[in-house]
This record gives sequence, C-alpha cells and structure tokens, in this order.
Amino acid sequence: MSMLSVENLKISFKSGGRVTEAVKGVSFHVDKGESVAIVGESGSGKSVTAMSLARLLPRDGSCEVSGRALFDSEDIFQMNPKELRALRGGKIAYVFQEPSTSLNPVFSVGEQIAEAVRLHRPEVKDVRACVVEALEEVGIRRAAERYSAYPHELSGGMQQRVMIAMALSCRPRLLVADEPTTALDVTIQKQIIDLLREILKNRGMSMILITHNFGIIRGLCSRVLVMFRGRIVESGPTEEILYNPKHPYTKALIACIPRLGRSGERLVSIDYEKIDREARELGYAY
Amino acid sequence: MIRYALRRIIFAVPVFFIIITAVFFMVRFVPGGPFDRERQLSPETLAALNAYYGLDDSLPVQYVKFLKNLSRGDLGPSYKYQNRSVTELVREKAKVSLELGGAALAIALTVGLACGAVSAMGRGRLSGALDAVSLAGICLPAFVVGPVLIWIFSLKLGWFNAMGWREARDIVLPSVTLALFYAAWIAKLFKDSEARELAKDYSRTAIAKGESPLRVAAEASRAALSPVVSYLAPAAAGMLTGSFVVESIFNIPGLGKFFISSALDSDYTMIMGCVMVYAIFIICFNILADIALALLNPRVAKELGVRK
Repeated sequence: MSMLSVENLKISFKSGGRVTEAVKGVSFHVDKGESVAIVGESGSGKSVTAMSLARLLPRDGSCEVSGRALFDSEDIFQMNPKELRALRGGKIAYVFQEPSTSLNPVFSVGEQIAEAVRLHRPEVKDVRACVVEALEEVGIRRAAERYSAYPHELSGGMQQRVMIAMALSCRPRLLVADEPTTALDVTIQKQIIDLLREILKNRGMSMILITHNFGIIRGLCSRVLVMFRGRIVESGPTEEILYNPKHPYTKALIACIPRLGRSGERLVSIDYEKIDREARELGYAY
Repeated sequence: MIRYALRRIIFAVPVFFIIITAVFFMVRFVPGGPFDRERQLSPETLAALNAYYGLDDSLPVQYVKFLKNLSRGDLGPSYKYQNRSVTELVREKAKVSLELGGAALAIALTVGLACGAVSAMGRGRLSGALDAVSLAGICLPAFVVGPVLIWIFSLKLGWFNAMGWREARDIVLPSVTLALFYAAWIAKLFKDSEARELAKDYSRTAIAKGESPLRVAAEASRAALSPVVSYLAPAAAGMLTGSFVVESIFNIPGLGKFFISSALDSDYTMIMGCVMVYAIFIICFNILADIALALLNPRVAKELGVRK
C-alpha cells in the first residue's frame, strides 16, 4: 500500500463562464521514503496537482477538484477542516517557489517556524530551542541569532533554507517542493538540492519535487512523472526516462537541458506541432 | 524607539511655530477686521477698540506680543465673545469635542475594523453587502445621517434627546453620526488591504502550515493595518477637534463651530486658538502613527532608523 495514492485527479478552473481543465485525470502514487519528480513546463498542471494534495487551491468556487487522493488510506478530498489542518504542515509540508514572498515580512523567521511547531507538536516544551535546532539542520549558521531576523534581512538562499526548516520542523511524512530552486541563483540551487538530498536520506521522508528542469532531478528523485497539458504522458525510474525517453514531449524536454562543454550548440526550443504529430503517430491519446 | 519619538517631537516644535506664524500673518492680510460685522461704528470707536486690543500696533510688534503671551499660555481675549479669554473658551469647548470625538473614534475603529475583517475573510453576498454599506457610509454626508438618526431614534422611538448636551446619553447620536463616515473609510481601507495580504504567497504558506483561517487572517492583518494607521492620524485629529456640521445639527457646544465662525468673524485670537489645537493634534497623531507603523512593520522601522 502506497503512502500517497492519487486516483483520477481532475482539476478545473472557472472564470467568467469559461471552464479550463488544468488537470485531466492523473493517477500516481508515492511510497514511503520515495522521492518522485513531477516534470513539466508552465501550464502543464504540475503545480496545481501539488497544491491540491493539501487543498491549497482557491476555495471560493472558482476551482473544482475531483478524484481521490489517499494519504494512509484516508481521502484528502473528503477531510473536514480540522483534519485538513492536521494534515497541512503535520503530514504534508510544502516548500514554495518564491521564498521572498512566501514568508510573512512582518514576523521574524523564528516566530514563523515556532508557529508551525506549536500547531503540530504541542508536546515540545522549549519551542525556541526546537526552532534553533531546525534552523541549524538546514545549514543556517548562528541560528540562535537568526531566530529573530526578519525575512528581508536574509538572502534568497537563506530564505529558502528557512522555508525548508519550517517544513521539516513538524516532521512531515511527505515534503512537496514546488520549484524550490527556480527563484534562486544557480550556485545556490545546487546547495538547496544537496540539502534536500541529505535531508531525505537522513529522515527517510518522502518527497514530491515539482520542476520544469530535468537537470536537477538526477540523484535526487528515483522516479519521474512527466506532465504535459494536464496529463501524465510518461513515467518511470529517473535514469530510464533520462536515457531512454519514449514520449516526444519528454524527448523535447530532455533536449532542452543545456550542457556544458558543447559550445556553439544552439539552445533548443520546444516545437509543439512536431510533438503533437509524433505523439499521434506513436498512438498516444490526447 | 524612545530616541526616535524624542527626535520626532523635537522636529515638531519648529513645524508648529511655522504653522502658527504663517496663520498669524495670513489672517491679518485677509481684508476685513474683527469689528466689521458690528453695526456701523464711528471711526473714533473703532480706533478705540483697535487700540484696546493692540490692533493698531505694527504687525511685527503684534507678533512679538502674541508670542510673549503664548509663552504664558495666554492666547488673548476673544474679539467676538467679550469678557472671555480664548484659552478659557478653547479649553471649555475642546473638552466637549474630545468627549464626542473620542466616542466617535472608538466607534469608527471598532465598527470599521470589524466590518473590514469580516468582508475580507468572507466572500460572496456577505462581503458584497458590507462593501455596499461602507460605500454608502462614505457617500452619505453627516447632515443627512444626523437628521435621519434624530427622526428614527428620538422622534419615532423616543430613546434619545433630539439635540443638546446635558445628559450622558446625548453623546450617542452625534458620535454615531460623526463616526459613520470614518468607520466606512476604515472598513474599506482595511478590507482592501487585508484581502490583498490574504492573496499573497505568505498567507498560502500559513495555510499550508495548518493554521486556522482566523489565525491566517490575524497574521495578515499586521501588514494590512498599515494603511488604516496612516489614515487614522488625520482622521483622529478631525474627529477629536470637533465637526461643524455635527455640532450644528445636535446643538453641541464644541470646538468645531469655532473653526468656521472665528474665520468668518476675523476673530484673530480665536482663529489662532483653533489652529493651534488642530496643529497639535495633527502633529502628535502623525508621530504616533509613524511609531505604530514602525512597530507593525520591521521594514518601515529600518527605513525610519528606529532601533528597538
């Protein structure tokens, strides 16, 4: 039995009488301790898929979600608000793309992590010490001092480390990282990826990594789901997908990874007509 | 923080003097004098009056005299209300206006923030209805609201006196009338900024942490309160120094009426009294607002150079 099992997930958005189907029937699973990447470009439905797992999509009626998402055999989509609050942060924690806007600018980073600890781990006596420990674990030096720093006093990389510390502070079983490195410098990206890899190894936690970048998932995720236009078009072990992609869209995405040492080579852009043509020839249904 | 406040207060002193100096000379440059409204005075009488009040001195001499008297807390006699000193008049009227304005301020803050919060957190009909009410509150002038309240609550229901300032309950209708406009503005300001903050990424982070909707809204409100605080400085000064319209409708002996009448009467000393009260309120509330903004937002504190 998988820890998380998503069945026939459909997500559609209504705006001004028009309904847009963002996710058109997606099924996948994540096992305990497993790390899965969902790869796709903007608009492929990968982010909304991730958001739906803790019901973080707008609740104002503009967004409709159907299907099932079983977490430990419990359907997330059937949970009441109280169960949802226990799930969010406590069992499924998130790291978002933009750390600078994802932290509240008027509270110190320590207080923001402390809030999560108080919510999900009421047994912790010394919350401050627990937060400092969490900050140290993500590689923040002088953590006790940084506790009272405000987000704007930290660099983007540091802010993302704080986000990760906040996510980890409540010992979640699944970490959902939505493009966690996209807003960061390339050198910092590597540090964050290394940090995530180390944490996954140490904690035996599961992760869903959302990215458009095939380059960062090697050695981090054991399995890949490729999403295109609201569907999973290909899935399998990372190495296999990387070296032997089947779907024309996967091939196009992999061809987009820029490589060092190949000077003079042009950056590739995706030719959708070609993908559609080839996909039809290969018998993929849309 | 204390150093910042002290610095602001020290800088406020010259500002205050610039204001009163400008007003002192400006009112005297306006054509007409304090005794023009009386029935035709003989030139001798007018000269005697001007001499009695020191108005025949040159302007610089008058100004120096004014400053000298001011240092003793004496604003001089009122030209319009014989035998009353301006200091005494202002003190007496300001007390009434402070009571009325204080009640109005409390109502405006409570009602405004509550409506704004509910409107920002709720959605659909409730939110729309509250927005419509606050828009109406902004648009309805006090001279419409006041008489309507009098008609309903004193003429029809008989709960309150129609006017006057004798019993404790006399404060209710005028303070509600005065508060309505400000409450509506506060509601609108707070709703808009709270909704903006709730739509931000960090509010999503708070939800993803497992916080309750109320907690998420409370954390967002710390940033959302800033526009309200900025607005409160002039709004509080306006409410506490009295309103001409509300005082006239309910026949209340407050300071608001003097802002208009003293200017019309060229009652120089009374104008100075009113201007000084208003200037002090505006200056103090702006300092308080800036301190509050710095307390709410560490980024603002950094810009202002406030150290905790």
